[in-house]
Amino acid sequence: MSRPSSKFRSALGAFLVLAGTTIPARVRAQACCAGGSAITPARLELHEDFLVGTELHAGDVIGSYDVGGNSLRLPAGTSELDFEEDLFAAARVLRRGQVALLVPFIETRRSVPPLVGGTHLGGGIGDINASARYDFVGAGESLYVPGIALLAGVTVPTGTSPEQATQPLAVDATGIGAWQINGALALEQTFGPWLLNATGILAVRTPRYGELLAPQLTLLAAGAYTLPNDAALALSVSYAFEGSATSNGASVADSAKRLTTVSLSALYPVTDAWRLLGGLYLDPPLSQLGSNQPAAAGLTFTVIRSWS
Amino acid sequence: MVVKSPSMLLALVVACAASSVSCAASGVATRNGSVVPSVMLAGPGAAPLDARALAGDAAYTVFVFFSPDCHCLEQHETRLRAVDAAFRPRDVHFFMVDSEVRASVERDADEARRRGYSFPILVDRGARLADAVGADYATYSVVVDREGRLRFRGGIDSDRDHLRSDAIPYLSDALTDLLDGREPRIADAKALGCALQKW
Repeated sequence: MSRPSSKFRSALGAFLVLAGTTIPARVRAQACCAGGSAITPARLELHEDFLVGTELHAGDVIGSYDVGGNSLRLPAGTSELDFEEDLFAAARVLRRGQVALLVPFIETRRSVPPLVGGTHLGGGIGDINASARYDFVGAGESLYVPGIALLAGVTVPTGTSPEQATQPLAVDATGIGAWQINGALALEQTFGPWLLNATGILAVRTPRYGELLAPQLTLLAAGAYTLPNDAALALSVSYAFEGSATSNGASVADSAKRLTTVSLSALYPVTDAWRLLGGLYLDPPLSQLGSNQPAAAGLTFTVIRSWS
Repeated sequence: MVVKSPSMLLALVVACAASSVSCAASGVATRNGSVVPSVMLAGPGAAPLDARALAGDAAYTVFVFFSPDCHCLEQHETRLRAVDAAFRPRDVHFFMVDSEVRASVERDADEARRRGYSFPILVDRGARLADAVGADYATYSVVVDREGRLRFRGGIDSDRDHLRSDAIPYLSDALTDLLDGREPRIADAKALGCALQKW
């Protein structure tokens, strides 16, 4: 079965989760206690020194975008379910600086008609990500200047690349097979109970199997609203795109990708130390919102323990 | 301020990196034991009040930093009222201080009335007192003795906004110790409130 790789999302996701291109959730006025993330969790809140957590993903591929950006339905008799369990930790190393580590475990179940290959399930450890974040200005600290943070990260190809996959339908592919260096600029500001975030992320990758993936740029815009009980809701839209890969200096045809994802998240702080997050995400199956990528819909659930 | 271009944004980032004092929350200019500077605070009355002079009116004076929208502070108000009620008879005076850039005497008078405070909210224009005592967060409290010396600084207690019965009552403990003639068992405590919007 020929299908665009779903690892495009995974390559970015680890950095998003850890580096905290996130919506601080407790944004009532000036980010009461600087908010846990309602979208991506592994970001220390204002007073936190350390946290550990796990995020569970379950996604269903609902279609794909072809090279021209047309939204396509899945072929009859085919399906793909993607699961991921991330373990992460973050620690404050400076008053305004934090580092984080994420270890993903990825499973894929693909099904095609029996005569073509049947159903297969595989998985394993994914690409481990380490990241750092420095907040020059916190959201809400200034009436006039938004919060400004710089982020940097590295994703290590500890997963199994599609080229290394040995199981049918490459269900044991769990990584992109290249080192990835990420940098990001995040801006965010509070307006009463509202928080707005805009983030740009650039990822460059090392050569893999004779080809070099193009830099990937992701733009993310998000808004969050904090309720009086400190729970928060957030809506975000991300648009990730990368140009054509090159092989021996020549452009690889039909290798450019782009993907739009809409996420709705909710955060509930159980105590000062424990918080839960849940979310829905969707790659809208509408033409021109992606290209050369599968379109998926899924759920996330996160549990975090922090120490202040 | 409107950021009009990427280059302007980058310049701002560089400027912030070069001067963390202006962009980040301020550092602590006053250590425990040092004297609080003379800073004028605006209150409900017509005349401004000198923070140092206020300290001379009581055995100990408590300044608690205020933010009108801070949920963490709201959650602590019952405890703060209880501390005020317990220590006011022992010659301890309480004041809220609003060091935020949008602070106004009128708004804070309304807030104090709405919240049922038995102490006024004083406006600290330019966040001079906040910067002098290292206040970056709402709920941050300082205790000043009659001579104007800083004797305690930190949170009201060890809770953020989910209050627990086993929280460490930093402020109450410090006042108890000072009134009993001892140094506070914890003189510097972490404050877990919202970031003050000082600029």
